[in-house]
Amino acid sequence: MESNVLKVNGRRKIAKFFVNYALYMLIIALVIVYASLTPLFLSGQNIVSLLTNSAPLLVASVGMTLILIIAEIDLSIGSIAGVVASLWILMSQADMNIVLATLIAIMVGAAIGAVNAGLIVGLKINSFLATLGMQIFLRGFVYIFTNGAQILMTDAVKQANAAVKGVLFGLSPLLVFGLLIAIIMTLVYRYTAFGRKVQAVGCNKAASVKLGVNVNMITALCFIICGTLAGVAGILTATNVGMVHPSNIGSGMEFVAITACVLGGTSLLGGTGTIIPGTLIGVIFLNSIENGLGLLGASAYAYPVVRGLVIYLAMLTDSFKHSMFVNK
Amino acid sequence: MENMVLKLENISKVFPGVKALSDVTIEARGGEVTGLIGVNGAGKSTLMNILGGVHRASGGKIFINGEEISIHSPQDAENHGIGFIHQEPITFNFMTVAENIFLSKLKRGVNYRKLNEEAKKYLQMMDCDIKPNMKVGDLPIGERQMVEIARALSCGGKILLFDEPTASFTTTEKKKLFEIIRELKNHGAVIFFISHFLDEVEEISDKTVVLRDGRVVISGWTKDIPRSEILRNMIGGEVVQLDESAKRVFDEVVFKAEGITAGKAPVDVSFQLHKGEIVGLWGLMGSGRTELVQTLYGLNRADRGKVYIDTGHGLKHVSFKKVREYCGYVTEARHDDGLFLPWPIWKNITSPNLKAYKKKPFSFLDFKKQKEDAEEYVKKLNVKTPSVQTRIESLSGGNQQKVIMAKWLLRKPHIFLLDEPTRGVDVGAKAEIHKMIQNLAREGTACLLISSEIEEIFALSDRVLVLNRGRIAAEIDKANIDKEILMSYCV
Repeated sequence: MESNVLKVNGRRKIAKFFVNYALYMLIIALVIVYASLTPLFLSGQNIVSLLTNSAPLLVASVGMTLILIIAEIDLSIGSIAGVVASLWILMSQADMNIVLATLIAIMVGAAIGAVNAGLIVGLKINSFLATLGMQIFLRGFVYIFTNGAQILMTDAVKQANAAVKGVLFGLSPLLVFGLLIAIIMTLVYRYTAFGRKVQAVGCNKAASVKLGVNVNMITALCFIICGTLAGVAGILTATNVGMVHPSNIGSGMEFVAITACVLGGTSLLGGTGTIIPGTLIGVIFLNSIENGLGLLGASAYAYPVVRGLVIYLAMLTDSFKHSMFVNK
Repeated sequence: MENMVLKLENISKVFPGVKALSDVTIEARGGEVTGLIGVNGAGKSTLMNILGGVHRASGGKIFINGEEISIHSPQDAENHGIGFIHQEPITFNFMTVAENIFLSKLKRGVNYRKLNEEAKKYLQMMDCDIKPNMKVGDLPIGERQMVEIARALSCGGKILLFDEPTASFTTTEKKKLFEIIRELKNHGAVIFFISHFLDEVEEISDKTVVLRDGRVVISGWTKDIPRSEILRNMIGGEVVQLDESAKRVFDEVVFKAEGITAGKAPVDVSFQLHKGEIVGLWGLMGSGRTELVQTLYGLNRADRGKVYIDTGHGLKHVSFKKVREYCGYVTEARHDDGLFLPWPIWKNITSPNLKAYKKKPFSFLDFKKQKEDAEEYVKKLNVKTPSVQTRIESLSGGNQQKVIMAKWLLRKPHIFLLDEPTRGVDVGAKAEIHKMIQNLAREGTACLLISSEIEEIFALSDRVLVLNRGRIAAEIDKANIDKEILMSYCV
């Protein structure tokens, strides 16, 4: 009897290990496969370009991680990114000081996050519906602001970008800002009372209330942070591609971000997740799949198929993880 | 410290429609354990929740050492040094032990090294070697309760409220808890200990306060109050008339459960139901009443045990899933699992029996027949509603409960499992439902009746099974049913 119990425990431990580290194993497998198929994959240039291209998604996913940890969802981040990016470019086209324009644009993202927070905390609208409405509503504004056509980044912005790059010893500002934000938010999440309360709310909302945690305040702050970071992600995207196209900018970003978070170990049921390493690795993993497919010359039509499979895999591990916790 | 005094004066609490506490006055001193005892709903937990800042008192004053204090939030309570050990340990499973202990006290930055050291200090006060950096989700339930106590201690350890802390404990864990409580007592803490297990209160408390219907009915030194008096005060003094005329003989067994075991409760439960008999299943909250019925009904996985049902050809072993075909089951929480709230009455009534309404040639549902049947039962059971089209959520609790009865009656079950059939139902509807159950029994249905209301068990049952911590503690015949006897078996 006892040895039986031990055996079951041992098996469970092994299963738990696999579920917990599934992503790392997948990444290693992926790297081996790609590297053996094309030497370009592990070249320094490709790695830098991969990381740089990951920056906008990384920033958006950091915000999403907080939202998922408190067991809510934000479907509006892609449209927030679009609105903020198009406003930013329009302001720069109107010859506004680039620093001021950037600050204002980021504030707009924060303000939209605050509106989301008001709908969810104040009016008690389910976060799925509130942010779905916001997504559609804001996408309309992206079209209005851009007149439905792509708008280009001004030379002034390009020069500013180059100047920042000079200060950063030639590193891409995207890469540096993306990593910096991820590091700062990791520290906030791990080492501040706010961060610990975020996790507590996600773990057990009722208990948090009983211990006097201001659940509404924590929820609202998370949505504001998420909106702000979505705006930053929009600006980074525009910088990366040099323009804003109303139907492309940030489109579908929310689901890619959710996938990245869940791949990185954040539970859709709330309470658990990490920004670094979890979400960071999730983002890199997602982007390296497509990066590798690109290098291999795979048809662009194959990307969604692969992405779909990966999302399925992510949800599957999440479900395993949860059932393991419940059965204990 | 020695002279620490906590005084509650005329505390009252009104919830919408219910007066949970009225004029409760208790004085507790440092170095004493005050045991609070009472049946479910007597107001014990409400009182503790007021002290712990979870609820706000509707009236009354709280004094510490003669100084009036106000408690509006859990934070206030903590600031006054009141530590609350909740009935269900409050835990954040994905967070560490240290984080769980200090969550409500975190300010700005978190220094894990310091946090872990502090946590260790409180855990060691209880001789507990849980590592502060372990995830609470990885701890067994008993140790989670230790974390809960450590959290309460970190509030200063001057006033400690234990709200039924033993509910999830094994015997050894309980022994340890009592040692801890004695230790704290010797350090001069004011301690409240709530339980509905009389033996626990007798063992640990210096003073006993009995609550009933939100009032203090008796209080004093534990050693001065005899057990019988506590029991009598817990349940109240009313005398219940037994209906002698209804004495009948039951000989035909239609349902037999044998050694039903599923985890902690039920444990090795065996009993029989006879044709036309109403058997009361009595026990306090947490005694495993609902768990037993759910196991019989195949909703919880049984570890062991067999069910036999007479389906017309003698007793036969049936699987737990098959039990559903022969039994009606009125669930405890009708809003959660008893009704389809947005649906009209007729859909609710016919929902367990849709097979009977298949219409040829395509097996579509016969809506007309469904509505006719629903109307028949609405009339029969006197459901007060404008029509069968009315959405069920707009009916009163009593009428909803009648609809639930109707939906099972339509299936003409051999056996009827009733879990709190009159909870939250007004007096008139209650009497009608009682009548319905009695009529059903007369017509030969075997009923298993769960109720927290001792009067209901008295009024209806031909026989009572007393459940205590998952086991059947006693079986009492109608002739011998007596409140004190019932209570003495379950506390």
